[in-house]
Amino acid sequence: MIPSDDLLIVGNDLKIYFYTYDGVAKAVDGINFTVKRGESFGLIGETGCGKSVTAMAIMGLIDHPGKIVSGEIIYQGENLLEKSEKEMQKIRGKSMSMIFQDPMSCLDPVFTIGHQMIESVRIHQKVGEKEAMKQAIHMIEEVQVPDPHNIMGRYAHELSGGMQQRIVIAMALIHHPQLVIADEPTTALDVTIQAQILRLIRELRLKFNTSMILISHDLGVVHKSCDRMGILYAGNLMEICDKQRLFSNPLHPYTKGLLGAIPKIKEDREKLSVIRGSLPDIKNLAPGCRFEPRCTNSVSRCKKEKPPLSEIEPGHWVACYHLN
Amino acid sequence: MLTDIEDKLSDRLKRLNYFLFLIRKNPLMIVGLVIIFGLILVTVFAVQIATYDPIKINPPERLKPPNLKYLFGTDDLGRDIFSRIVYGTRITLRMGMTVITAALVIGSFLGVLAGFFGGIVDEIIMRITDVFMSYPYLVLAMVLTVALGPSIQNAILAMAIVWWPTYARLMRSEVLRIKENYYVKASQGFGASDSFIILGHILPNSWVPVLVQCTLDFGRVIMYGASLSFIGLGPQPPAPEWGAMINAGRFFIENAWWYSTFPGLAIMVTILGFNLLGDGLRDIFDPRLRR
Repeated sequence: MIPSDDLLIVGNDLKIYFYTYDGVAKAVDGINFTVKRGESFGLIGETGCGKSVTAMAIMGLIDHPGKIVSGEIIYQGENLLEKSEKEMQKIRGKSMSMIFQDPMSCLDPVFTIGHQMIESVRIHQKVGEKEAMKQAIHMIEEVQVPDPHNIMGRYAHELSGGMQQRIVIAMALIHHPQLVIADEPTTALDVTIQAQILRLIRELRLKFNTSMILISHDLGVVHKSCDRMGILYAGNLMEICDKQRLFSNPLHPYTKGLLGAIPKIKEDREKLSVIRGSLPDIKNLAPGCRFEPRCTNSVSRCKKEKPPLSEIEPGHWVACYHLN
Repeated sequence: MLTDIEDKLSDRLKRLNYFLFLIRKNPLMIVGLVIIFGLILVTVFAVQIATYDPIKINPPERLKPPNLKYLFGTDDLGRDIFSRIVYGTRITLRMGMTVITAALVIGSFLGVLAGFFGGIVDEIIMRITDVFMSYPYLVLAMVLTVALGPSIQNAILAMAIVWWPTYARLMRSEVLRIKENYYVKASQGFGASDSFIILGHILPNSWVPVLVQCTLDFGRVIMYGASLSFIGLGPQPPAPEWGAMINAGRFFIENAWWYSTFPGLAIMVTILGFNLLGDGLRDIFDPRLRR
């Protein structure tokens, strides 16, 4: 058992449903996770499996018609779901921050970078323009963008995608938060820039002692920058374990399928193995295991009951009946 | 450091040059600008430009055709029509300004509320605008003016009441569009409050279509104002209002064509000016319409 003051954030039985005209979409259906201080936790899943919704729930930014139905998010010993909007505003950006997917659309097109940087300093600090500017320039230096004075006067569209993402990272980390949630931070960038951005995030994280929840569909990205990871499928966590074990000894059939679908350089194969079928409709779910219809070794029990996430070996949690 | 300042200056100059280039490519907009600028000059210097007192009656000189002494002729009470049109500019522009400002402020405020908060607030505000928009503008304005009592203040009030739903709708749709951008979410993620996001991100991103709408509406408000005056619901005699002058002149149309014609031309030129400017602005700000 990990001592509780070592835990930065804990999600308990979190359920987030979207009440749409054609039914209730169970985007996140009872997930449990923990992130330790200084740790980097990867949340992996396909499109629409509830990764971003989980991130938004932690930030307290779930919009109508979404609703957090039950569960709790304990952040530094306090339940975030019981906090008022005012209290959340003080937490957001200061002790907990977010990096979004598309850096271009994260920056307001009508203001200069400097204006927006200064703004994000002054939301949480009562400082003058000069002091805010100094901090902003210092932060632009931290994210290794050359010529910060010049950058401050530029508009978002005048920068390259990589530079934009660096600026967004600078804005997110300017108050040295305890936790940063990165929602597919490199998806919109090309591969050479991806590695640079991931390295930058890691460096800054170590420097400011920031924990991270990295959301991605890319196992390669997560492998490079996470200590532990959770596999999310249709709103349920299927497997949680540390990086080495996930890649060397995956236990859940879905995880095995994902890893099997990665092309390997040494192997000489015409076709990649795939997971049969497609994602279930989250508005119309069967009572059993979410992965059952696509699973190659499902038994009758899988159809009737959802397998609980249980600890198979220390630190390795799997939700599958085959292993208990 | 010095090169920094030079860079910034040359940047500004480039942008200004580009803007001037766009205007130059749009000669009709220049016509609009000239007309509006002229109208503003006339409003400011009405006292110097007018050759006679617009209100003083002079029966011996009644219904004189246009000549060098009376440029646009005189009316049935011997007043100089040119001077009356000059002073009428003040009434007209004041009417347009007030109505547009009031409608813009009320409409944008409610539109932002509706778009930003959504849900029940949105429903209530939008159903109210539906009620207003289910009547023809002019009919509703007429009814309101009659109910309030005919005067220039009441005509302005009535038109503002009729006009705000347009802006509420426009603003709401702009807010809905901008709200979907990640920079709004990101700003929330950095801890910004609702009022900060509205003032700091939504308004600065939405003023362009609103400005275009304002300019185009200015012409329409002037037309509606003149229409209200024409049927006697605007400024009361002897105020030199263009619509009221057209109405007064129509009894003499057979032998004094100038009486109704010149105020009519004044209305036409004014509306044309604002429409040309509005179209031009739209072309400049909407890159899809740029050639």
